[in-house]
Amino acid sequence: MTSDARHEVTQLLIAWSDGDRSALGKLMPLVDKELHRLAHHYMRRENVGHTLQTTALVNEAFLKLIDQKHVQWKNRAHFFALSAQLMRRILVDHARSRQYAKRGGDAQRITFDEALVVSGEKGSDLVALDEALTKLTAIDPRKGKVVELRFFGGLSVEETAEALKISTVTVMREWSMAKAWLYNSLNNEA
Amino acid sequence: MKPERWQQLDQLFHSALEQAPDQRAAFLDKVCAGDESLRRQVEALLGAHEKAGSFIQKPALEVEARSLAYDQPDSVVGQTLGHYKIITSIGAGGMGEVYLAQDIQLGRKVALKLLPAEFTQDSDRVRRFQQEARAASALNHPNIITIHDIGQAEGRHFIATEYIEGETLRQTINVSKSLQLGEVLSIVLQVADALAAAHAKGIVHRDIKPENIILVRDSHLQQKERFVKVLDFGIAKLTEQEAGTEGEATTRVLLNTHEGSVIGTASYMSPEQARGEKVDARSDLWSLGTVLYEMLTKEAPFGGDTAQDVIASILKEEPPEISADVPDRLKWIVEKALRKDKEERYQTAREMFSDLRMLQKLENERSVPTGVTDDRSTRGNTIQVQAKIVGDTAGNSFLNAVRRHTGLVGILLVISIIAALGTVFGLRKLIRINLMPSSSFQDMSMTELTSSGKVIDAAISPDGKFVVQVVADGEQQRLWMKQVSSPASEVPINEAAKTTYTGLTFSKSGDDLFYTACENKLPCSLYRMPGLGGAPRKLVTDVDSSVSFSPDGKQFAYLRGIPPQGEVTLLIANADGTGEREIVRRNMGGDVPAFVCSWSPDGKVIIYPLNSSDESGNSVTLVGVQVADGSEKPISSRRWAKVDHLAWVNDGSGLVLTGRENHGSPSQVWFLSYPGGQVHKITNDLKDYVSVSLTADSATLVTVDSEQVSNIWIAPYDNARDASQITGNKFDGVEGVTWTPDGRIIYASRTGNGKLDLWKVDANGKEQKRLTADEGNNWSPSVSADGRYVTFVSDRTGSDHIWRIDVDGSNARQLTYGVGELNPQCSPNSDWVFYNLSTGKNDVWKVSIQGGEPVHIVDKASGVVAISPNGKWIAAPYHDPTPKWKTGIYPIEGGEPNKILDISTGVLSWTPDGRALVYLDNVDVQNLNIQPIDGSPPKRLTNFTDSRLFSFAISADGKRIAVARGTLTHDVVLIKDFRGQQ
Repeated sequence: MTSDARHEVTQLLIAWSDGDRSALGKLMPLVDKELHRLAHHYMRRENVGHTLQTTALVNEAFLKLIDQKHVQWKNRAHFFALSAQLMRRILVDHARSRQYAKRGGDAQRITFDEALVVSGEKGSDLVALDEALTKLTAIDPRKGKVVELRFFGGLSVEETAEALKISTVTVMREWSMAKAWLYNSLNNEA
Repeated sequence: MKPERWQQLDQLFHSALEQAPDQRAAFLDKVCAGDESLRRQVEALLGAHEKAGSFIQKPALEVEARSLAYDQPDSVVGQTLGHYKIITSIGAGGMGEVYLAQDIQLGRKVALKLLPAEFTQDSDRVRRFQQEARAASALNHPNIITIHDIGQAEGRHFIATEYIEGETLRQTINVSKSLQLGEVLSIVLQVADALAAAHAKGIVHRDIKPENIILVRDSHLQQKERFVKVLDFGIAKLTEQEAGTEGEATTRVLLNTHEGSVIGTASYMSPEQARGEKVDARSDLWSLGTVLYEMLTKEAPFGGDTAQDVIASILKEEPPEISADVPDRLKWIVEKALRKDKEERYQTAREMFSDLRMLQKLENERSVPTGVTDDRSTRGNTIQVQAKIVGDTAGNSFLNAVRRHTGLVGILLVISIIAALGTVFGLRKLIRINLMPSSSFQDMSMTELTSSGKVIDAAISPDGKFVVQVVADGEQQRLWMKQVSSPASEVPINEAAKTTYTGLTFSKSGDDLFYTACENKLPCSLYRMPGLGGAPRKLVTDVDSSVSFSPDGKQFAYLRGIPPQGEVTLLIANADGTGEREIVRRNMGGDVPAFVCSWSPDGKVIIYPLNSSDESGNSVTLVGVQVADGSEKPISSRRWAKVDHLAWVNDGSGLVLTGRENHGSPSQVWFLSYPGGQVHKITNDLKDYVSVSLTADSATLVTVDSEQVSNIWIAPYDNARDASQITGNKFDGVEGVTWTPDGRIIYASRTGNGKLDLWKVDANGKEQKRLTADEGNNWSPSVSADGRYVTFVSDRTGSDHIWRIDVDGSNARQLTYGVGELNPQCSPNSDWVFYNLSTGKNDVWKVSIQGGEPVHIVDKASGVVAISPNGKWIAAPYHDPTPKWKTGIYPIEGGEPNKILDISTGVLSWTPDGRALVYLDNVDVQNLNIQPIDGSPPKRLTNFTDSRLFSFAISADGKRIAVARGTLTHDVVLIKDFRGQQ
């Protein structure tokens, strides 16, 4: 990535963290590429039996992208929160586009049972989960945050506690109920 | 839901969880006190809590990474089904999920076709899937893809077949300008033969089409003769929608939407298939007829805008006439295969085969009077050809028609014979092929322009009249100019100097010569020499590649490495060297494998090679950078182990490049089409070609070839001059020489057909024994400490991995399974085998010789390691922030180096006393030096004066050395008219 590109990502990140929603749209393609590289890296390491440390990889991705001097991270929590959000957006978008591809975007004459073409795979799970999570966040923002940080950001319980300024016990409580609620939500949809 | 309600739910949920499970019901009775809806909600949550298990426990990235990494719609990739580990998708399409997988038990690559998940519950369909698979697996024919296994794993039914690398006939038809008659016949004969075998066992293919015919890629075969494999026998039907009516045609067409053209699949259907009637063997022959038609005319015989139109055309219309270039006899065969009434068609595949074979024989005999016949289509087959001659009242006119076609098949034969000879004898002498002149076929000619053997680099002027070359003489190099038309003329254009010249490039007008010159330890700079022989001027400092001009000649592009930051940049500057600007920046640690770039004739894109990891370990791909915005994307999916040079062809239709297909093959000259990304080999021998330069009209290509001759010599350690030769083949030991504890030598050698294998020999040259003989190349041997095993690299599975065999050659066992591994080095006193991962980084790992989990030792850019005799240290290449490679001494556990030494050529070995390192001196006449660990000055170990050293090993007792010595000659080769072969 050229230094210009890095600068651009930094600016976008700042803008986004300041509340500019449109910055996210521009940011994502840039981060997406890095994420692909990351995923590749992850796959190679998995091949030789190393356990993944998601947070480490996500951090790595972001640190690579930004010019650290320019971004005033309020604290680590801020950084984690942003990266989890970004990760969520990218992964869900990716899953959504896969779903579309499976349905065959270019087939105009599907006259038979759609069930033959679409097979329910993990792609649709992630999209459904994202929607359920959005609903949960509307009811209980903190639980939504916990799930976003842990599941999309890959944060541990301790890191989540630090990010949200709550105790680890609270994190566990929020997590277990959120998990149960989401589980039901998905299975009742199906 | 009201917030208070939610709070309540939250509290109740957790309180209930605190109760013992058998107390919960009672607890809820008390607390909910009649509020049924609340109770139900809590219970629902509690139930979910029980069942959720690992729901969302794993972070999303871990789950999604696979599909993200491979961009596959199906997350099966990366998983293991039974004993198959799925590597990547190789076939898209709604009905065909085909993957490349590794058979973990047998260590080979297979193609895994999965029955779509939605059919798993359909027991009827599954049973028939299995039945047909079993029947098809009973087909044992070289042209039919072998079925290895059928089964079920992880809830998916699968068929495992042999994995073939090659292109489909569809790709060949699309890419090549026109298929030669000989090749068409060879292909259709093999398919007909396959059909005959299947029909004899009662199996009808039902879906013969160019996409189901694979032309196998095998670099050892001659270019024009390709082995055919037919896929999907009897299987095609089962993965489709069942339809007994005329709906079948439409449905099948729709289901194959994902494969691209909606119309495509219908085109090969026979009339009875299109009508939905019962099909038999004759339907396959129709389909073969349409394929044959398309090979000859490049158009399918029956077309239309919609599936219905195509079907109508099949049923009612006659295909357009085939052009007059095609022999009448062949037209007749096609026509017979395409008779709408199946009673009037060829009744058996054998009949069609006979007619085609007849035609092929006649074609061959006619053009090569000495009687050399092309028997390649029967290779590997045992066929009793029915000598049934179908009556032909126009027999005479057929012969006349055959005579009319001058040159085609004959030229093919002659080229392939000469290429075959070249492979066996080594094209050292002048070979100029002047074939029978033909209006429709341009002959390619290869001329050796020099024979001094000392040319490092060469470039041809745009008008094709001059060749400039860099000639090396000991430590000095000099630029010379030669006129192509009078090769004996050779004129120096500058003074000899202790400078390294590379990157010779002419300006677009041909008036100036550009080159990079590197003096001693200074960074290389770009120079311009006005005219050929004028005073050179330095234009840009610190340039690491040749320059490539924009189409208008006003700018050029080049690469520069910036070691302190570990980066490489692609830059553009004006033709006078001013106005440098950066286009792309990349990580040098592994990303950029070669310093070369090329600017497209339309000025839009610059191509350069990039390392990207993939499963096969061949990690170099070519990437195009848009000049306008710096965006990059690969221009081809083809991967190489190494790419050295590139040059665009003037019309922008593709590039000529030199590169190695995989680590065991020689570096050849290739053509890569753009934007198609199709690859086609231009040279076909055992030499290494490095540079590439084209004339302005791209009709002539200049390259420098290098040919190695190497043999193994033994000498006493302290008197290297007293060496005696112990092997006499040509390519011994270049790719590895090592000792066994009992004083024998194991080395790698290339046999006549170019394949690398391991051999063993006594130190007196007796008892030569071959250790590996399977498919694939085997090289780089290292013997285990106890002398029981030999570890080596083999590409027999399709990519490079570390293997081991017993020291007598038996019990081959694979030790590594990653993206690709090279350079095994056995520890002298433990079970560990050290090696490099064959990505651009070449980082160091180790694995136990008994197999198991690999361990990361050095996680930075490195290379081949050498282990100290006491097993406590390793010496490995180390890249630090100066413009050179050095050598690091690491503790055996890895990590950071304890010491850095100024050796840049790679350490071959430690001395037996463990106090110094032996390495190759990097001057032309190579010798070995010793560098003491304590940093005191290096000394010379050997004193050879007339040859190069390729590899080297010290015996276990430290008393003798084995060296692979020989010559490496470089000469300029002129290749004309290579494009006619596309």
